[in-house]
Formats: sequence, C-alpha cells, structure tokens
Amino acid sequence: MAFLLRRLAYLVYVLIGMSLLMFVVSRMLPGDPALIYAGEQNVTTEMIERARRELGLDRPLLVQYVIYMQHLARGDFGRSLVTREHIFEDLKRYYPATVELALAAIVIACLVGIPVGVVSAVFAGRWLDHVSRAVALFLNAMPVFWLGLMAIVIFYARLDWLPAGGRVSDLHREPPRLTGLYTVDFLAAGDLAGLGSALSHLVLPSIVLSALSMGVLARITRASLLEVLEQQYVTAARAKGLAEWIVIGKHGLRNAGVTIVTVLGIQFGNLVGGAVLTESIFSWPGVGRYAVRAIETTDFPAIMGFAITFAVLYSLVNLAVDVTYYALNPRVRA
Amino acid sequence: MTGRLGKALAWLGRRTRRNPPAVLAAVYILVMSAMAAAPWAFTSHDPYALSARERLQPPSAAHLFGTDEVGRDIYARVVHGTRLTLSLSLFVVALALVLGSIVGSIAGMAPRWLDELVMRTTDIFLAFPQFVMAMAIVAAFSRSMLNAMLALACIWWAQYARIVRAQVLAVRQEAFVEAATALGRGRAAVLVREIYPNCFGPVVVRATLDVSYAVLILSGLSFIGLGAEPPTPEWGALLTRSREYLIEHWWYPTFPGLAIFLTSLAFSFLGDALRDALDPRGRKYV
Repeated sequence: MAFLLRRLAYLVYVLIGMSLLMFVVSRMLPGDPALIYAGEQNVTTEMIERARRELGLDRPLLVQYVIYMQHLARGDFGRSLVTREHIFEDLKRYYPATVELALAAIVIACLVGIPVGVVSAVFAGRWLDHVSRAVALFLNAMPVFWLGLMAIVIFYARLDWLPAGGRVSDLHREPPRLTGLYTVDFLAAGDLAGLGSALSHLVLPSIVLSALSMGVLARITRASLLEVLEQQYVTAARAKGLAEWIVIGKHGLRNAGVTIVTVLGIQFGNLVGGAVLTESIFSWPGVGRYAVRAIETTDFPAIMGFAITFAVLYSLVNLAVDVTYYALNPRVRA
Repeated sequence: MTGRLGKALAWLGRRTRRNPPAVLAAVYILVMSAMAAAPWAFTSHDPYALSARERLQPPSAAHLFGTDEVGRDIYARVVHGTRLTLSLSLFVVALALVLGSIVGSIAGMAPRWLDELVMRTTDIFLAFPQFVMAMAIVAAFSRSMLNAMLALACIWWAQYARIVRAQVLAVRQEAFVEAATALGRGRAAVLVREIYPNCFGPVVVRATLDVSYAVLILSGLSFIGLGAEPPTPEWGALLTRSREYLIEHWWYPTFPGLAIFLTSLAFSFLGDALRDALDPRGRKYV
C-alpha cells in the first residue's frame, strides 16, 4: 500500500513537472497564439489585443499556468486555436483509433517477438540464433515511416493485397459507436463484412508499428531467458528429468516474464511515438495524426492536450507495470 | 591521460576487429563521413538542379537512384543530405553528453539535497517517450532541423547526467581516488584526472547507440514537417515528398529511406560491438 501511494505521488510530481515544462516552452514560442486565434489575415491590433485577453495571455506566466491546470482538472483542455472545437472532444474522438492500432501492434509484437526470443535462447550460438538476432537488430534500426511507405509500395501498389489507408473501406459505414475500436464495434453489431474490412485496414499499419517493439522484445526475451536458464533451480529441474520444454516454459519463461513485462510497458511509449508516424502514413484517424495536424497549424493548446493526455496514459501504463512487477517479484517488496 | 586514452582505443580496436559486422559498420560510417565532408566527390550532379525533361525517371546509369518530381537527381540529394543528418546526429549526442556530464558530475559530488534536486529533475525528462517530447518542443519553437536537434539535446542530457552521476558515485569510493585526494589534489582535478576516464566505457556505448536513435528521430521529425525546409536535401524530408509519388515510382522513397536505415544500423552495430568489447560479461546474453 505504501508502495502504491509513493508511486502515485511520484506520478503526480512527474506530470506536474512535465506540464510546467511544456507550458513554459509553449509560451516561449515566436508564433503568437493570439494572432493565430484572431485569424492571421486582416486583423487589427484591437482584435489581437482582445484575443490575447480572451486567451489570458496578458497575465503573468505562472498565473496562466495555474489557470490552465485548474481548467485541466475539470477535463477542460481549452479550445483549438484553429477549429475552435473543444480539444477534449477531439481527443475523445481520436484516441480509440490510436488505442486500437497500438493494441494490435503490441499483440503482434508479442506473438512474434517472444517466440523468436525463446527460440534464439534455446538455440543460443547456433545459426537460428544468429539469424534472429540479426533480424532483431535490423528492426531496431528501422525507420518506422520508411517501413510504412515501403509496405504501401509493395502490398498496395504492386500486389494490391491490402488497403493503404483509413480504418474501413468507403463501402462500409462506421460501426455504431460502442468502444470506438472498429473491430470490436463491428463484431458487437454482428457486421462481419465490416469487421473484415476493418481488419484488412488494420493489418499493414499494425505490423509496421509492431516492428520496433518486436525486435526489442526478441532481444530482451533471449537475454532474460538465457540468464534464468543458468540458475540452479533450472539445473535442478533438468536433473529431475523434466522434459526440456517444461523446463523452458515453466521454470525459464515464467521467471524471465518479469523482465519482459517491464519492457512491454516501456514499449508502449515507443509505440505511441511510432503511432504518430504510422498514422500519418496510413491516414489513420488517431491522435498521432491529430497531433501532426496541430503541429502544422501551430495549434499549441491541441499539442498540449495531446502531450498531457499521452503522458497521463503512459504513466498509468507504467504504474500498472510496476504494480505487476511488484506482485510477480517478492524480492522488490523488501 | 592521453596515453591512457590511446591505449584504451587501441585495446578497443583489437577487441572489435574480431567482429565482422562492426568492422563493416565502421567502414560504412567512414564512407558516410567522407560523403558529409565532400559530397561533390561522390556525385557530379547538383542536388538542386531542376530538369523538366527528366521528371520521375527510374534508376539508370545517369541517375543511380532515379529522379524526383522536378527532375532532381535523388542520388545527389541523398549524398548531399548526409552532412545534415550525420553532423546533427553527432552534435546532438555530443551536446547532450557534455551537458549531462556537467550536471551529472555536479550531482555526484554535491551535497545530498542538490543531488536529489538534480535527479528528480532528470526524472521528468526521462519519464516520457522521447519522440513525443521532442515533437512537442520543436513544435513550440519554429520548425527547423537545428531546433529539432536542440529539442532532442534538451531531453537526452538527462540520461547522461544519470550515467555520469552513477559512475562518479561508484568511482569516488575507490582507493585510487582517496589516494589522489590524500595527495592534495583538488576536487576538480580528481574529477577530470581520476573519475572521468573511468566513465568512458558506459558513456561511449550509450553515445554510439544514441547516434543511431538520433538519426531515426531527427529524420522522423523532419518527415512530419518538424525539420528541414524544402528544398534542402534531407533524408526525412525526401521521404515526405515521395509520398505523393510512391504508388507509381518505387525508387523515390526506397533510397532515402535505405540511407536512414543503414546509417542507424551502422551506429547500432558499432554500439553493440563496443559494449561487447567493454563488458565481456554482457556478451553472453545480448
């Protein structure tokens, strides 16, 4: 319990620090938000002054920050400088698409990365190990945006196997909104054709996005499994005459799992970073593309909204990882 | 100290030579450095020269990597893009390293409260994914490659601060440091002559791997429009331009992306080889 409280306090501290940092940086920007807000053409000085007052930019920086945080506490991220929509509403609309993409990517990364790491560890030092280590290293250095473009060139332009953008083909309507995850919503509505379309749209972006984490997971699984397999309890299990796959599965992987879970949490952050790039390549209507568009129009409240919600989400995932780690590994409790 | 450094480098060279991918990576990096220093030696084409007759030509003897939508030679643009990406990637790591080392040494030598303050500040910088953080910071400043680099340095100093602090704290306890202090050496002298040389290993490995990430992050930022302005030949920006044409013209995205990939790969091979050489225990596992 004390552990959880300490961890929560730390989370709040980091979030406040991060938002303060972002806020100060945003106010140093040369582009004048009041000017953007007032509309860049044909504005008079009075209009800019009024916009400045409306946005509260005439107050001291610290006061502005406190006001911003007070609004934030009520779930009010302010309005977009460009569309004047509530940013909170925008984020609510775009987040599910990103979550769907990131979940699909992490599932793929686990399904491929962990077995590859296990095989690599079991055949350590042999050619299968060398090949999978090389592939993992290659994936680690792969620019996700290039991989995406090449996937479109090959699987869309050349082979015409898979669609290159969007979440669902134009022939299908959006599913009735339940979770915002199209695959789940189509399934709930019993629309199998829609589900097929949503899945086929998900294939390329999620595989591309999973590439980086896949390599990391394979490397970590290999490393931690090799370390565990050297322990005396593994030797003891072998000496008992247990089949090798039981030794690896039950004694090896379960103990290596602690490390793998931790890395998975960190990967979630990279995944959303990668999602910004993946989404803009595959016209995936998620928060990443929203953030890129906000950047293009210097819509700082929107960028802030993205960064802060993302930071909260990221911290919560890491908190969950820490709690899992704590539960799995009695040694850290001491 | 130079003697010690030279010896360390020679020793490193001996250990890495047994690792063919690392040698290959080192050769590739040397070639890229030559390209960055003297791009005109590698291509006779002008990376800015337009040619209406030669729009979107596939690769040929005249245009190794084909041409773009206004007839510019893509090979020339990739070669000339080397300087920007390579120099900024190295520079961002160097800057983060210097900043981080200063902060880290202060934290390691300072009284406890200052140490705490510094370390809790690094927490904020390390708590969030670098790409998103860098994106937000560049977006706040005006968009340029230089700002992208500065934004990244703003974030990365924190990890070097941690590494250096940890090394300082560890090495400070050693007998040779006590001996130097007992001999009447000042704090700064002990730091520079006794402690820094012992930070060399982990810092150099981290830095090499970070160059690999810097290449990816900087070109990624540039790809989403937070880096080089057209018509500057820059790898990420080349990929952005290629998006409208890639369905019919495969060569346009292929080669600039390959340059990013291979450069990042080379530094990560080198970093791995350095880690293996410096820490033989780690070799077994990773």
